[in-house]
Amino acid sequence: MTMLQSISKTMLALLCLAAGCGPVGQSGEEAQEITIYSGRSEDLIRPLLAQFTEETGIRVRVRYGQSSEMAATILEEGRNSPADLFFSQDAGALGALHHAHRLATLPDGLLERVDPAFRSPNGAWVGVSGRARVVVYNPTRVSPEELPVDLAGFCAPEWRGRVGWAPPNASFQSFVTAMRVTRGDAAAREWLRCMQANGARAFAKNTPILAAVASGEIDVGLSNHYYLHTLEKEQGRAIDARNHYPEGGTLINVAGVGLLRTSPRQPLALEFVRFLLSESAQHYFTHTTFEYPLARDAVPNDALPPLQTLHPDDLDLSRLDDLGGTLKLLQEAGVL
Amino acid sequence: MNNAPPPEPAIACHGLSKNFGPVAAVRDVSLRLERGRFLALLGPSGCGKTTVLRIMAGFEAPDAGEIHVGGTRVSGPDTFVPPERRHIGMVFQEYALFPHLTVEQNTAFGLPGNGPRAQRVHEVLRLVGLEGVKDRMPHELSGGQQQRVALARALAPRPEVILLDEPFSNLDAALRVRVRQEVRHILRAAGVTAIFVTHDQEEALSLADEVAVMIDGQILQVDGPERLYRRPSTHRVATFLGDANFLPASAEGESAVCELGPLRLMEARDGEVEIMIRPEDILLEANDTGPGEIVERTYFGHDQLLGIRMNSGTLLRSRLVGCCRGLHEGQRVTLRVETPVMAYTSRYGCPLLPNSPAL
Amino acid sequence: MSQSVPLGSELGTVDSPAAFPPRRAVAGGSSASWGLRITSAAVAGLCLLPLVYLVVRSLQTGSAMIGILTAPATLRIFFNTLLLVIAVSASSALIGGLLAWLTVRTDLPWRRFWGSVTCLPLVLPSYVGAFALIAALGPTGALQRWLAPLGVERLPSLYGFPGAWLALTLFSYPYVQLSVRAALRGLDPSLEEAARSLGMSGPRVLLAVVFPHLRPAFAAGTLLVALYTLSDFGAVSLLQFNAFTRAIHVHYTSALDRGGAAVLALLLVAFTFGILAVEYRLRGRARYYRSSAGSLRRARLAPLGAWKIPAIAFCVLLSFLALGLPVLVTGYWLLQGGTAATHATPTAMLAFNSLFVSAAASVLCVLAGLPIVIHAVRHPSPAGRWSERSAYIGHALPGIVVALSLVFFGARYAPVLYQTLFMLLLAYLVLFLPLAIGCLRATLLQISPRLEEASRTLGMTSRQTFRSVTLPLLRPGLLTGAALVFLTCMKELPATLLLGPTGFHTLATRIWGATEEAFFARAAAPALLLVLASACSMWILLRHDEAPS
Repeated sequence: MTMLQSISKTMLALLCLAAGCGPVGQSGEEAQEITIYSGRSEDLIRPLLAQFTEETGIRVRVRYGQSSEMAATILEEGRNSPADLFFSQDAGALGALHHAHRLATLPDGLLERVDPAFRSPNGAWVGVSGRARVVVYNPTRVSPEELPVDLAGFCAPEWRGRVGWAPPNASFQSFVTAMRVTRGDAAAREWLRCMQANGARAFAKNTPILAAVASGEIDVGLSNHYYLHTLEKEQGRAIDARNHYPEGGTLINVAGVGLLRTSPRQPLALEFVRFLLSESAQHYFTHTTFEYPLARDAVPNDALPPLQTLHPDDLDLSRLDDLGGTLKLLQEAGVL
Repeated sequence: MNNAPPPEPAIACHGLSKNFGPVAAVRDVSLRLERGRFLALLGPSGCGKTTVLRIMAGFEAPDAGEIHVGGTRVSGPDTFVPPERRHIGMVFQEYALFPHLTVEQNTAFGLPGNGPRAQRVHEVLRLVGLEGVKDRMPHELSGGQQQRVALARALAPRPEVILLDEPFSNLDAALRVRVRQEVRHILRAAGVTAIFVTHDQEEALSLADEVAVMIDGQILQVDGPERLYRRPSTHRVATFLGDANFLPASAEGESAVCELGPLRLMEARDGEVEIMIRPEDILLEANDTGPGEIVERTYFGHDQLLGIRMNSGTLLRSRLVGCCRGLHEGQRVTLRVETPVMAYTSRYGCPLLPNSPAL
Repeated sequence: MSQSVPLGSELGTVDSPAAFPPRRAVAGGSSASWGLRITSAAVAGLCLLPLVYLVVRSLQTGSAMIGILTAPATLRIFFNTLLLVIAVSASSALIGGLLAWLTVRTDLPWRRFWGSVTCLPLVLPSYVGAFALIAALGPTGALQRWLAPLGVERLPSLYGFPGAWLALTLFSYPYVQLSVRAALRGLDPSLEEAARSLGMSGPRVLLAVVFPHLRPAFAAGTLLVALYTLSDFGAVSLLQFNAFTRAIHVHYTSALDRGGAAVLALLLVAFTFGILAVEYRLRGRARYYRSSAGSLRRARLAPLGAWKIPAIAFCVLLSFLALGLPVLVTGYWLLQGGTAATHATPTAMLAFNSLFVSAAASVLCVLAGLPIVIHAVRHPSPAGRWSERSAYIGHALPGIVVALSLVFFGARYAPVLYQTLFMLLLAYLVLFLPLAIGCLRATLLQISPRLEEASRTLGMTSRQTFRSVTLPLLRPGLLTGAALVFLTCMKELPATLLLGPTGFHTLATRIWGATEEAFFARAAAPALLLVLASACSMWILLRHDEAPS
């Protein structure tokens, strides 16, 4: 019967093609190529990668996904992971890989380019850009003066049902972890409970919060600072939302990079880490993704409040690795 | 079997048994059939007759027994020839015509790709009288035509034996008699050996050269239709095949005495027996002082069935052909049996009660 | 017997005139050949890989496992999911059944058009669909803005259960519709006529005669709806309803807690077996009806009379909510423009990649489904039944669980295949095999084993019989099964991200990547292209279905 034959032939052809599309084979070019698992989205970092290849001649293969998914993938891959580098959207996923002994120690020369507050104390990963936790508000419905000084103020009755947050989001969870570290578990749990009781609206992630604030669906939201800027740039117009930086300082979430212990191409991979901390890459983060550059010598964006004024001195980012504890807390409070 | 065994039967099976779980569907079945003859496997539904057919075709492996087709063993303790190599054709109850093929393609299905394929298809289709519809699809045919395509398809590869499973059950009554005759002619013309399964005794008796009566997985009797009807070997076969009156009698050699007086027996017996009288063998005569009274009359046109209560209380049935001449309900009659009858020693293995259930 | 099996007998049911009473035996002896047993066991084994992985990971949690299982949160998730599955299944069965009846058996104007259009929501990824629903019906959505001048202060909240229920119903009812309409087409009208002649009224005939015959079709379609509800992540996360998938994701994303996620996923597997058991009972001892020889008469169309207007309104509303809104929202994104950032992979290439892997996966699923279905249908045995059931596990699990389990096995034990398209196709196989199995099963049940036996008596070996009798008659099932797998692969995300070759992008991953950073304008073109391409394949599926039998 011809159908069966044609099906088999097609399958065979497909499989040959499939084999051809596999990880780039044992060609001579392999030496000049690195593989990155990226939790940062392609739309954010692709121009940067192109620039890197142009500057160094090293080609980059990238697998995109959520930071946690990429970290889980690396963990499941075990020894055979094809990844050389893990570029994460948040420190938590990097910390998890470090705890699983999957990251190699970075050379001091690279680590020292970044303030110790924004890198792993063991040298397992280094932050390359930062995002501040902010309160996004709709200026047509709320004036900045009305906003409470402390986040605990959102538990007040007048904010009932007007606040949005994103409990499943990693940066929100880092923020809760920070609260646990600075104020203790009990205070954090109490805050989550009262927010929940006050009708805080849960979103899946940050961008819908911003959209909801801009549309007036909610009046304020807990988010990261840079979404507002990228969205306005993307849409080419101002939207009905402003960032409010809490006066007492706020958590800076870092996007960072770690080198896999199993990578056979560590020197090449380190070239990429070095590039991320270079002036041009830091400039990209500052002006294209509107983040805070983390290299000591980078020039920050004037439009944003200086990093030094935001980061509370008593907060050690490496202490934000108790993700399980935060998850438990969120679940206990009925937030997740 | 009736005559001296011929050199080689077309199909023979010996000691076939098959269980489905705890159910013994087929028990020690043996059959043999000479070339060119038709055998009907007759039995009530669920008696295992279709299973026997499926075992012969090779769709089921028997638990015990052997099958020979054309002298070759196709099934036995260490042999199992798959269906496609048995040279057995089959016509299914629901015909099983391939819905995606035309009549012609259906017929050609079992023929090897090379050789005079077209010629054979033409030949068989002419035999079944369907040359005109060879390009139609099965669903465009009437039930009778589908039946004949199924037959043509099975005949085309010249099988040693052809098996037909309830071949006429899907046809309505009016069509059935006609198709039955057609099929008989086609099979005869093809000179093929055929076994068909049926639960319809009329079909079996009218169509087959030999009839095997199968009940509860066992074959009780194999004989020619007439002999089977006239001389059923057991009470059970007698009741299964046609209508029968049973009366206790006491036999002595070739004759026996019962309520109706002395009767001739087909086979010599002695002692207490049960005799079987077909209703059409009981002749009646109106007689106001006769021992029986007509208590029921069912008129069929070409014949009628009369229920007679004897003085003893026994109820008998008589089938009369032709006119009635004063035989109405309430009329007393005398009864007469002129043909020899079958006698069975006690059905239950114990002396018969005076008024045993007659019918 | 009709010329071909009623076409497009999707998803698992069969009351058709061509069907036949099942019988014990089969061509080639009563038990399955070793080749068949081994291939179907191999496919089932592949489908069980995620289960093995979950057991491995769960056991690593040790005593914590008990804690997770007994946590009040877990219990809440369990009941949330149960509620959602029951609600979505019930509403999908109702809507799908009603639409099937309206478009097959009534004089609804343009019923063929409605029949096709109302099936189309199946092509929408739930993450796009749910987004559109929020934009339209959310607290500040278009509807609220239009109603505000009329004094409507606040619509009932879409978030939580109502939204998840609405979204999942809207994007999964076509499974029931496709299944039921095939069964309705195959239903012998003489049954209904008999009931009418016995003095039953129209509605009573529908309830007492038609519905029982459609029960297996409802069961099969609703099973897919229930499994879709269990495994969907997009809708429950965007609409903020805490079902199993969302909880499993939280374990991965919040704490990288693979053990905790595995325990929950195992619970989900148990849940799935519960659903399969219910479906098995509902399917009942599916009875297959044979009409008298000859072709099937067309059923008389029920006059809708005054109900015509509400019926059309129903179709319009449904098509608008489930299809119109998402397309409008995507179109709006496109018009918004914004920075037309180009992507590394041109959109045409993305489309090609999507089409290519989806097509390959559909062929693979159909080929792998064949031995499982033949084993289960033609050689009923516990082994066959369990092979078939194992195939359903992957379909009920969230894509990320299946993907990670294949990452685990692939990277460790098959590094040569890891991150090749082959691996991705395997993942699709584990995820979507049941879609193919359902269609194949339905079609195979309609092919009488007598046909195969007839072929054997005519000298064909079982292999030849399969090629020249079974396979040609299975064609409609093969095509429909392939089309359903194709549609579902087109929108698949987690497995594509985790298992595709590095640097391999599809329309779905592109839409995800862009929406992740709220670059909706960039997502618009791939999203529209995805819907368009899927709609084309849906059209093929439906055209096939429409073909006169």
